Amino acid sequence: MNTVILASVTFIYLASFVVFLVGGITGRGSWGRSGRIIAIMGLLFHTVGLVMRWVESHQAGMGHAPLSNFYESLVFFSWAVCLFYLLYTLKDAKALIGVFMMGVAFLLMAYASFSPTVDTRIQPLIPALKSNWLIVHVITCFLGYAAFFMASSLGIISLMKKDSAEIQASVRDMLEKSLKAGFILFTLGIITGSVWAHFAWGRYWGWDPKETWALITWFIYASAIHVRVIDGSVSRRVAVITIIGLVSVLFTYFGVNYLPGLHSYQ
Amino acid sequence: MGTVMLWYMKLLKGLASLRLTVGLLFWLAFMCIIGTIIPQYTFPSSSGSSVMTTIVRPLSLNDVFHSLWFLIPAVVLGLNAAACMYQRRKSFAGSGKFPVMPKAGLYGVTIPKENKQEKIGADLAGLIEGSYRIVRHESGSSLTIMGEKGKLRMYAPLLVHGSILIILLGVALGFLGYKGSIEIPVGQASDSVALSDGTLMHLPFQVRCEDFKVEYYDNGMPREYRSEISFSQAGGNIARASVMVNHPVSFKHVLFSQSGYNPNLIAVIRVGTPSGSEEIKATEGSVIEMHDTGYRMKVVKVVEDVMRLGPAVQLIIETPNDQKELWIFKQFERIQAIHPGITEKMPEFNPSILKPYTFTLDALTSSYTTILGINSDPGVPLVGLGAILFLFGVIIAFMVVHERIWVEIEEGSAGLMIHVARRLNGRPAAIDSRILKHLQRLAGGKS
Repeated sequence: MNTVILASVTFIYLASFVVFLVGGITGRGSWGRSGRIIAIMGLLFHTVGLVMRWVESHQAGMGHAPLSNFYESLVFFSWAVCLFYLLYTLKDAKALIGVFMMGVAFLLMAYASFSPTVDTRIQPLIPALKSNWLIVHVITCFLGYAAFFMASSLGIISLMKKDSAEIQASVRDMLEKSLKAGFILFTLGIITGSVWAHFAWGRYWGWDPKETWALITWFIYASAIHVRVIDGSVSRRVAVITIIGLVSVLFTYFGVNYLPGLHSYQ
Repeated sequence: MGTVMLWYMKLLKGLASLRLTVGLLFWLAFMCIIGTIIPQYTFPSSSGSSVMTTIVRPLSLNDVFHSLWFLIPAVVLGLNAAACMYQRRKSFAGSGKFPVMPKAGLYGVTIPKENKQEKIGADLAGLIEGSYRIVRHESGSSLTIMGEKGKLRMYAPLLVHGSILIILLGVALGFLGYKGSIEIPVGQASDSVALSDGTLMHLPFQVRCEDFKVEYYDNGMPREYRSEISFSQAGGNIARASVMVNHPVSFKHVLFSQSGYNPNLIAVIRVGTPSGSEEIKATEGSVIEMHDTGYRMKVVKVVEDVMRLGPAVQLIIETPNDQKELWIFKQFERIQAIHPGITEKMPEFNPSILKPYTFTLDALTSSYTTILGINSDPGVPLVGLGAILFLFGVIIAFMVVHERIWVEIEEGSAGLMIHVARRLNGRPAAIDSRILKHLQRLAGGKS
């Protein structure tokens, strides 16, 4: 049942994306507000789907948080992206940001729900994944990824929108906030991951490709924060570095699965 | 100032540079990318393609994370953080003194002389009060009131950079330890650790594997791996412990974690002679001397099922002049019944081919060898402490705003001159509208 609800969320996010797209093209605020209402509906259904999956895993005698395989990580990632969009646009719907964020949320859900290579079944946990540190690690990492997605989307928007100083200031303020939120969450993700690795594999760091790419992502966003200090504000250079960071986030999540390592999703 | 001092100041300034930080972060990221593209620790020293021999190995790109390309920038990053902290010491040097009001970004009004300095100061302090800490400072004819909050933010860069140093120190201490694995068959003890670099070392105590169990879910996926181990020294048992994945055990500063296992099949082979028979228990790779004849029996394979003919063992029997291959099947009689004359077609299936012996496979039992990860890392507590401090530092740096508002009231010939300045994290910021309105009221609309 949870997979049906979660698959339906894909279409709600698609609708939200399309409405935001129209809003972005026409520049009418009403479209942006409508897109946000649809996104809120989607997030509610999404949350219900996640909770139901958790309950169903208990009913199946496995009882674990829906954060243990590739499907569940895609679904949670999408949930986090939608959540971040809504948190950062409480006052103003901002259709253009909605286009980016809800577009990503839709694509993640579509990949999770309809790709034949993604197994949607609830699976029991292998011994290495039976840890409460896993829950904290995955939640913080994906919230961090989502915040970085937000920062990078805003970086792209700030490079696109050069016309209005007011919009630029607002976009750059949001970029800075999401960059900071992402950095805190992702740092927490790396730390909790290290604690988990210490218990699961007996060492806190092993230069596994996933660990290494997480560190690369961390280095890139740490650079963005330092360049922000050098330039005195969120400059064009900071925006460019956040976009480089986005490529690194994508590789940390998807690309590493093609490299041999302990984190490769099955 | 001497040349040495100038040189020192230049070096310090260069080391504390944020541009250096950014350059180092990007360089380290680049080296990390190399480390995930080129397989690490895999090339034996005397072989490999021309690319390996000409580029990869001489540049240590097959061990990037221990190469100077990586370690030197990491050390310089530590020095960069230390220099940055040293430069920032000025911020704390006068922490007990009243912070001087900045001259840039001032808002000023002059109000008539009839107003009392004390009264105006009290009114403005009343506007600032609340979550601010108010400090008064009188100097000659001027009274300065400063409201401050979020002072903790001042210490955040110190905490962040200090914690990076602690983490790097912890990582460096880790080089004094060792990492590896120990393989112990059930019922046996060992102290031999195969280190990550391929060498062997001995623990100062013995580790015995009392038992090893694998539990499975109904769908065949592994549920739990559990090793029951005991530690002994000088003949006496010291401690017992269960090691599971996610539940490592620490003994004498060495961490034992469940890393893997190997299933061992044990073949119970009966070697019959005209005078009697002998039972031999052997695993793959076992070599047994047969004292009567000087023959030597090597167990090449122990297999649960060979071509649906059931359990079997492949042996090589070495005689002084020759060697013979032999397959012994547990269900030899059944095989003979199904395939009459098989021993003529395939003499290596004949258990009595080597006179005077007859080999029989009585049973096949299974046992395990547990593989435990070994890690002795004296730097772990420091790395943990550094990580926690770093996280606190970053949270304070990003979430707490250090705010200062100064109101300076100076008696002058034209009246009372009031100047206001505000700083957020050390940068000039707009004055609170309530204070502005109040000042404009006092000045009668003039500023």
